[in-house]
Amino acid sequence: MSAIADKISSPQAAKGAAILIASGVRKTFRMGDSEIQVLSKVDLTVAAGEFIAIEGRSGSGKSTLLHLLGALDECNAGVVTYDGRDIAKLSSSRRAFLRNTQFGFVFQFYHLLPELNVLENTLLSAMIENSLLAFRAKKSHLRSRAKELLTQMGLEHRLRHRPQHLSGGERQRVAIARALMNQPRVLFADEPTGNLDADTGRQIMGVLERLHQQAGQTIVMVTHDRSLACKADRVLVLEGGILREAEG
Amino acid sequence: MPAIPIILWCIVALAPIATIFALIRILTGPRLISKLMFRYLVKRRIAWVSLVAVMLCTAMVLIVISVMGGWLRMFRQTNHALIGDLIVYRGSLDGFSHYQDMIADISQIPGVKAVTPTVHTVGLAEIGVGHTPNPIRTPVEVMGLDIKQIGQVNGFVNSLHLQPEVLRAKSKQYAEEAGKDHDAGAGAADALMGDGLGNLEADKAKTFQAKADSFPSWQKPLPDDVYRAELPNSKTDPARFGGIIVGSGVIGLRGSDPREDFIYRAWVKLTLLKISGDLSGVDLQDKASTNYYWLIDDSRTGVFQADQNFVYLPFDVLQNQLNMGASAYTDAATGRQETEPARCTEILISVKPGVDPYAVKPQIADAVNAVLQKFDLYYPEPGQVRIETWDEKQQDFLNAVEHEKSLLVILFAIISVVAIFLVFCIFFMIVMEKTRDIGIVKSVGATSSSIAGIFLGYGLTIGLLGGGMGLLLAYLVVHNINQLHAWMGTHFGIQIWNAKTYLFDTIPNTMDAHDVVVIVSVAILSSVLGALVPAIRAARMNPVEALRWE
Repeated sequence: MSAIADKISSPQAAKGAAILIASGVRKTFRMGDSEIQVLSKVDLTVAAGEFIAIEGRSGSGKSTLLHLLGALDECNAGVVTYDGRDIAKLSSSRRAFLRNTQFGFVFQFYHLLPELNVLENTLLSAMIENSLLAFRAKKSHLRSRAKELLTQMGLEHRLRHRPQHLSGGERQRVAIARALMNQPRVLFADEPTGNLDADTGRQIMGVLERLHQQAGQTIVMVTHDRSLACKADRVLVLEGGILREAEG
Repeated sequence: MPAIPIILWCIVALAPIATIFALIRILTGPRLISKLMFRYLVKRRIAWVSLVAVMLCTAMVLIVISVMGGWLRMFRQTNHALIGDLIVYRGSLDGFSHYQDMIADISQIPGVKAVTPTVHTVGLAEIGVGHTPNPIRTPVEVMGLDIKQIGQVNGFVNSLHLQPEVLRAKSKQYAEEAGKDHDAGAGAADALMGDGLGNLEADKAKTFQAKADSFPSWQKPLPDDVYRAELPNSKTDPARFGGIIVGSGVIGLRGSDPREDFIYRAWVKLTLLKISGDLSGVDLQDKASTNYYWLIDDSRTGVFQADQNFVYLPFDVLQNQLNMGASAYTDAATGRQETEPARCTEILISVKPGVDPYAVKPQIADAVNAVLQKFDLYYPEPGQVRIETWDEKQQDFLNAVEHEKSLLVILFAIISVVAIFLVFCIFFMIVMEKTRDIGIVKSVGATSSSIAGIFLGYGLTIGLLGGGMGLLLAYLVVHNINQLHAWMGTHFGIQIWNAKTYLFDTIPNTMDAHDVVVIVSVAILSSVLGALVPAIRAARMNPVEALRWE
């Protein structure tokens, strides 16, 4: 897996420097007449090169927090800053640019596009970043990078296959390759093993751990599984809308 | 309610804006737009329904517009070719006098190319060959024209079957049959003329060649001996009968296939309806109104009514037959010898290339009115002398067809609305189905405009492909419509096109480039418009909600 580290450029910020900060974040959802508060007051600092696991029960707001940190959603109160810039104050196209170039997402249900094959799914973020002509100009470079990522994921024989013809573990590895395609500074993993059997889940965790250890990839992972959370540098628990350091 | 048209125009204006937006996004936006657009097109077969709908709508409207517009175009062209650019006429069979003065004045008007008078009446034709007991007996419209001049005014000469090249080919054929080896073409008969062979084939070669050399003319195509042999018992010399041109439909000829020379041995006994010399009424007693002619050619204008009903005689022959030529008489009041001026029923006028007939019409009207005043001619309503352009002459009919075409455009608009709704429903369904994909793509960094671009581009592709396939289908149908019609008639007994109703014996089979551009463009814009609301909905989706979509 060391080859992965070679292919992923090291994060731009000095290791240990805070790149993503959430301060007093509150998030509520309206369900008819009632309002459900999912996050009450969340404070979190993500340093470059850090592997953070956020643990919590189902429905505790872990995914919501991940979406807020990853510029997919907006909080009702508080501030989320990336490199010192308030994400909420960015235009929607700037936030889309952040998601495309700075962040990578791995979801529990893989979320691959069924119309595209494995290679095309991996190239998704590059296809968004580049125009028709720009993509054509860089095509060979981008395809070779995607192929190398998939090779490192052990999927070199699956390049032309559609997601529906892959196992759960293979799909998740494609999702990880897709998330890494644009060399993101922060990789968000939302229950990455939640839909996999124990063995496959361990393999996926192994991939994430190696990414962190060998390439210094900053990872924010949410999980309900304490044993998986323990693999991270820092484990936080989200409970009652409040984020705190895990005990022990 | 001015708000409703404004809203409608706004909606219509959105279509080109959305199309331009889609094109810009496809070309300059993320590569993902074109990738997903085409992948959805191939993989989502439900979209093929909208593709087929657009194709069928486009083809249907193109076919109907092409046939109807083509018919109108043919009608206009043929009538223009038959009439010329302008016509001076009187709605009465006894015509009007001093037409030579009018022609002299009209000819002086700048912009006028040529002027020729014609005479019109109706009659009964009997047509037969030899002493047949069963000649064709049919009512006909008879037109007298100057065949040398008419070619300067309209396209009548082009409607004749015996064009110079046909005549020369026949001449050559007879020359060869006469056993002579001659060079092909114009010189074939000339060479024969001096060799004194004197056989019938050689004579036929000469007469056909002479007719070719004098084209257009009233000259008979066969030697006198042939005519004499046809009617040996005739009291007068049959070779002295004049020539007559008949509408191809009068003798049951169709198309431009080669005619057997047998038809040029047909005689035509023509009885004319004529006005008495004193203009007091119809003269049914005058035996001189019945005459024999030899059929010398047939005319196929393409206008069913003309080809089915018209026969043509030399202008002066018909004018004299109808007692419309100049004649001397003694004025009962003064006892002086006076001359009754010659009359015609129409003056046909052509203008020089690039001259608008409407521009010279007032000057022609002035010239005609000046002659009418000068000779104190008074023709009260409804028989007054009228000056009209060729399209004004057909205006009532043309307007009716134009209105029908407008009705068709309205129907097309309704069909377009149906197509828009169909595309809208299918795209709405696809967007619902693809909600999670939209969330995925947004989570990876796609902007709202890129998402809109995917679905608008998808609609544009459906429009381009559907419109293109519809154009191809329409072209194939329109191009082969007469064969298809004949095939339907043979196999299913379906006869939709009736030449008696639609005036032409063939269905128009050409497409107008302007109509094609407009209809295919509307099809493309309709598809984009149908995809617009679903595309906006997709673009506005919250990525988190879209990812959670079940």
